[in-house]
Amino acid sequence: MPGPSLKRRFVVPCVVLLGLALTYWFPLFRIVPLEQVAAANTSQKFDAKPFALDFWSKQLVPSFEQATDAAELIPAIQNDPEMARKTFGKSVGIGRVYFYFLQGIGTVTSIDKSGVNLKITDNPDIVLKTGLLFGNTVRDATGQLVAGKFANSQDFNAISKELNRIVEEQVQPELKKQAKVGAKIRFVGCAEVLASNKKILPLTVVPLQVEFPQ
Amino acid sequence: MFKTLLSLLIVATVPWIGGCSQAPPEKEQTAQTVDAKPKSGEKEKIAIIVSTLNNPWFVVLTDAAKKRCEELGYDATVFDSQSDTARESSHFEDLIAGGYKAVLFNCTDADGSIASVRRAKDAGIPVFCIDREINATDAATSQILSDSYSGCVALGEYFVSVIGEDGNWVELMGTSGDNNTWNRSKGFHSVVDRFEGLKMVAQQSADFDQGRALEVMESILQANPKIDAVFCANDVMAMGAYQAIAAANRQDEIKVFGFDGSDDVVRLIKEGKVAATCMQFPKLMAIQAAEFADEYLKGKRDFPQKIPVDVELVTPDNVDDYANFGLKED
Repeated sequence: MPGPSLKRRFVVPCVVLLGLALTYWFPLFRIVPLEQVAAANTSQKFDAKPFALDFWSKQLVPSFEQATDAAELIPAIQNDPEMARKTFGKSVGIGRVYFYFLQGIGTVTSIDKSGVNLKITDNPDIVLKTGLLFGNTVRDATGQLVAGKFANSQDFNAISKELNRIVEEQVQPELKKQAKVGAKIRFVGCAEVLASNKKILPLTVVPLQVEFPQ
Repeated sequence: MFKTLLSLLIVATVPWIGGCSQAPPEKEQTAQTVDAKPKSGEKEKIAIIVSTLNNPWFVVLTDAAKKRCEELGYDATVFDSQSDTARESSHFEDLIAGGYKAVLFNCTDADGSIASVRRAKDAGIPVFCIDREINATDAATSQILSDSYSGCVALGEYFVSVIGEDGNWVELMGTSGDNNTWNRSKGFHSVVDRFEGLKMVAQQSADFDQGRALEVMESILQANPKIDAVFCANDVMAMGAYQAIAAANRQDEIKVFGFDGSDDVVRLIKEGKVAATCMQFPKLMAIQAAEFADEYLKGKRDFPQKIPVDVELVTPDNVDDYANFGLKED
């Protein structure tokens, strides 16, 4: 009985090996974990943490003196919310959300889970938030950062998370430690308002700076 | 034997070769003549390229864009990319050759669609992106985009208020090439992950597709005896998830959260079957894009590169304010 031909002994295994090699290096599909896709979808070059720290110290803090005086803003809201929005509010896109960037001195009337309640006029007008921070209020309230400068909106949104972290780590602990009923607080902060919200006051304000004048 | 093996090898490698060079699909809706200038009395043409029409939300977006273009005096043609970037690229070739003056564009892939937009730009055709972003700031004339991140922050905060600070939850994600998928997921996680007691027991993509969401949710339900909530990155997936949950008779146990503001989900919120969604405003975005295109064709050149469009939380408390993919008064 004759043995297998040369073709069968060498060429066939070579073809099979070539096929295996092709599918190994160039598979028809790959299974990739969602976390890996998420990482790949964020710009490799952008690091939100140093960007946020830089923005905080070089742009946001120097702009504090431009914030609207709360003693002017709160009566304006009490008088005509829509006019107050047009005069002092800032929007970053299309829709019914707008922001206030404000500063002032108030007296602490109470402290509860939502934050430190301050009186600017005769009533508790402002709540300085002491809880967890979410969203884009700090990033967007001054209008200094715009979406169009960032190729990937995920990078732009990552800045918000880092700015919120700065407030949680650098501002809120001092506020929670020092605030006492009857004490005066000088503050700079920002607030987000949905225009359809019928009850704007007391205004929930993310504190960006707090001082306790004697 | 040798011939048989060789044939098998060829059969096995054909899909591989095909996958490497996806041929442009057949041209469907684009029997346009290669005539760059409209003849006297003819209207100028605007192309509306949409990622898929297999979702009512995109149908609303497309119809609104087409209607506004026609009101402004243009001929508007709709091109359905069917979630296929190669098909989308072919549409761009057609519209460049076909003398279209502007493109209203809902892309299939934030990175993969950039080249097509650049081709149109190089041909002098402005592109206005609607809802879905491309990852470039120097290609499109302007991009009008839902602020999905903020919407899902609001949804996440509401989720915690409804579910509490302890519970098991599931996430159904959209297509991986769309930034909306990641902005929605990251916005939601930026809130919910701060509560250690809230545990995500499953996270899977269902490609923004109702049937896929139904299948995925069915297997998740079988694997997880205790689920308190499911967050779906769009409303058609919320519908699919709800179908699976109801079929398993677990609708009283599991709360469903969606995103889009589709009529079906708004109705289910009214009926107490879905907990919440986020209202995007597809008609508003489409109309704005059409008006931008009109302004461009009349000479304006100064457009913001990206314009975020607010997204609003819809819950049983305010559901009556919304209808027909927007505010009730619209």
